[in-house]
Amino acid sequence: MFQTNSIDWKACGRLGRTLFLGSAVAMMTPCLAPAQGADVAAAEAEGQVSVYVLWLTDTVSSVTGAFKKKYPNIEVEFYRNGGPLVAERFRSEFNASGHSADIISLDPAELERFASADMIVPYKSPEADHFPDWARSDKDLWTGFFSYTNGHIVNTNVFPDKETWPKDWADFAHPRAEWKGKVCTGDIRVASHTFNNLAAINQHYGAEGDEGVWAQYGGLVDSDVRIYTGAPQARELVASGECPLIHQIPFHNFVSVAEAGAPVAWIVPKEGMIPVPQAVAIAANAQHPNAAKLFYDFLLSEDGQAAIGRNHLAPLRDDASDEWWPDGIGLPPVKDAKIMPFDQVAADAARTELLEHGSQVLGLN
Amino acid sequence: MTPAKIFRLSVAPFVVLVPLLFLIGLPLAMIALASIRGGEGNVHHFTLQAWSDLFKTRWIWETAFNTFGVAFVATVIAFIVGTPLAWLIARVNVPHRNLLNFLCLSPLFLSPLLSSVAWDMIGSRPTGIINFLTGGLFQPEFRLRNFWGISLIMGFYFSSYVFLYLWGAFRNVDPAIEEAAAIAGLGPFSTFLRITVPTILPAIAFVGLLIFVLALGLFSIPAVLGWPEGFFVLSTRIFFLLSIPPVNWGMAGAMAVLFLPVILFGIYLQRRLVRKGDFTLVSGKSARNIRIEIGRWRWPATAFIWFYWFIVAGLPTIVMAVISMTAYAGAYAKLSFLQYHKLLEYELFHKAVQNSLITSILGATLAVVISLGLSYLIQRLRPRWSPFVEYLVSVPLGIPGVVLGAALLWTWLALPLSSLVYGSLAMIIIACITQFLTTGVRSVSAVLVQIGRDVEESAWVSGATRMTTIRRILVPMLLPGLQSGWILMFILFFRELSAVLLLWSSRTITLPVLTFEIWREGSYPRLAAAGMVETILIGSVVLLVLLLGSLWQVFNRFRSRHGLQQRAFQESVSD
Repeated sequence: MFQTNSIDWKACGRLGRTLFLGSAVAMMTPCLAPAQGADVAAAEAEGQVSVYVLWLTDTVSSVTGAFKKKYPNIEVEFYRNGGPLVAERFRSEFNASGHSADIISLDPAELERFASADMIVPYKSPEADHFPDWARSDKDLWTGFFSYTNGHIVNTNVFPDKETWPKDWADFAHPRAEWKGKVCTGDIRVASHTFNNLAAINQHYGAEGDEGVWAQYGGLVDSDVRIYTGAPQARELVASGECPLIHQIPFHNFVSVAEAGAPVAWIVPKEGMIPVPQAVAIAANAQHPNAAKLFYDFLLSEDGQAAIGRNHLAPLRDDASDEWWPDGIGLPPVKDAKIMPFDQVAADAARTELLEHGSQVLGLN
Repeated sequence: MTPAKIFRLSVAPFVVLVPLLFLIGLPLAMIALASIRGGEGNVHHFTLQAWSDLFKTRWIWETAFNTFGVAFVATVIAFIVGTPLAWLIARVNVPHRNLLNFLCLSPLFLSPLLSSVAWDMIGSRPTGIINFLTGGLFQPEFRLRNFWGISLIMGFYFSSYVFLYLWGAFRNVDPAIEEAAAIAGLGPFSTFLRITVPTILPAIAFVGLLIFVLALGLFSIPAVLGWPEGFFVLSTRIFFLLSIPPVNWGMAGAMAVLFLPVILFGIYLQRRLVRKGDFTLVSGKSARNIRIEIGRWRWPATAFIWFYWFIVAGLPTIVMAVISMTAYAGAYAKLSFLQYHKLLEYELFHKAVQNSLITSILGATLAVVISLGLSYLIQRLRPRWSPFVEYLVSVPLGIPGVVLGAALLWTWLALPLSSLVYGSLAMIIIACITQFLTTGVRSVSAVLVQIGRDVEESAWVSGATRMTTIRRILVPMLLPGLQSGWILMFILFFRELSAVLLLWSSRTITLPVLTFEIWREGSYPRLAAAGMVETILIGSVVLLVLLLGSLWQVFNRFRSRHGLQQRAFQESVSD
């Protein structure tokens, strides 16, 4: 059962919008260059665009399908995998100065690494002004165009009483007795959303203290937490009741089981959902530069953002519309959702230290 | 020195070794290089840092123990289960042998990813079928997510490999040997243990090594049953290392290299074993196809085969078929074909099916042809450098697929004219051949070693050239072995996942990659539906090949009988 009453998007307030990735704003400077759109005729003459992403196959199929519908003369070839393997393939191909992707979409921290190696080129899309400053590279090297958003899921058959549901991230620092043996969380070392969750809690609550990140993850251990390796597996666990309380998981995983009729509810933590932004860039040695620009523009356009939204991911475009979710259970645009502030680039810089400590706390080998 | 000898000494090594060095040697060198290379971007230096870091980790010895332990136990289980099956069907007069033969082959059609997910549903979860049926008999619960569970499921999975190879070897055993044993007073089971098994030692050594090495590198079963519980083996640990940014290729390469001596030692042992004895089972003398009578024991034997099929293939298939008709895991009340409809509407699925069939059929055929050539070289021509070829083709099997895939990526990007191959289906076929060539070579060699040289010598004495002898004498005699080899290569190629994980794109996606993606997306019902399609496709092609093989045998029998009658008629006329 999908419980829309557990989400009050408007009441979540606009605070998150202004705070979201607030610290990243400091490194941004307005881009003064006038935006030049892609040359459609030149792109169609190239006839192809190659895209490397870490979005799920369903999402990339659906988004590239929407692009192809709009531009039927341009073939889209894509490669998808986990972030590190996508980055490795892109890097290997780039260094061989041969065959490479035209478009690369990963998290901003990874794209920053590519930027420092001159592997991506600046591009100011005419659509970019619709995106908040914090979601854009100061040199127009990349644009964050959607975000995964982490919250909690409960199985309402196992936890029918809402009083037993967690209300906020900090509740896990003092776990309820009913949760013992029934909580799952992701392996912080493997998926980007699980590490970013840890990092965001660390940024928001601090490391130490009663509600600090280590108290929260220590509380999970006290609840005999079970570690899952991928969010998609977790959604099956919560749907079947095998693991009825998921500590953190991106929203779109919830929708897929909710739509199938599973007895689950989505919980927006009081302090807000945790964002894991995804950005797009153009490769420096793109073989189809015009088609790459066109695809870039498309991702940032209303059509592209609607295609993203249809996959229950949060578009970052400022004029994102609720009408993009005709089934009524899509995630509202980030501007309307309760989002916890999070600086992903700073989080990446602290990755090693956080992972070492986190692995010790959670007893990961 | 004759021109033929000059050719043998100078051109032949070049023709054989250069392509092999490109195909296998360079990627292996890339892996070794990765393990001793440091630095970032394009600035590199040599260092042993990755090796030092590897031995400082808390998990390396535990991972090594898990890997070898699971591989060893799985190999033992596979032999315990697979050997009697192969003997019963190849040598014993069990009823409905063709049907039982197909049943024993059917576990090969199930992908290990799919069967491990099915076993996870059956045996691991608190809500699993075994725990549900036994109602709390196991405390706290019956679990397959541990060392013994993973070994057991892997053993079941590989038992059909044992069956496939030993069935062919048992079939080639001259019944006269068993008859002699019977005359000497040995019973059927004593004959099996004391006479038949020792005569097929090369096949046993080959399949033992093959399974052990494949088990060392198998990814999907430990990924599904081990990873969620923090139980890592070599393949899952490497994949895990490659999932954490920044990717530590040095350590992954070092881990891959670390296990190579074991593979090389296994090959050395196998070579010694084969060299020590004469395993010729098919000679110029005629052999009748006589089956052993086991009297009333034939019915329990048949029941054993059915039970094996049900546990290893039937039960997981039924479970996956049911899951493929649910909306989400556990929703058994409303069954439908929705997942199949969704798959059929999925453009990528059609592409994946098409690509998988092309790469596996074309790749397996190519691999068998290359294997035949290399086997002939190793077993018959035996140039001085043939052991090098044998070792070289064997090594990739011991390299975890994802590392091999990366090495192929680096190699082919560095080669001139790589754009002709890179990014195409040819690249996927090359990856599969590189990894599994040894399987083909050893599969053909195991049969070739059983065919006496006197067969070829008779042909030469009658004036046939070497090529004519190969084409008209050797290949027809090898056909059952080539057929088994092709089937195994087809299945391995069709299912190959980890070596192509870094090489695919939406244009070259294969069904296992798509299935793996669906698994990563977490939809078990959709995974089950895709897995069922994969199973049906593999089963259909294998069935077709077996049928073609049977038709070929019938045709040959007819032709030889017809030829004999014609000759008798001509002789009577001339008389």
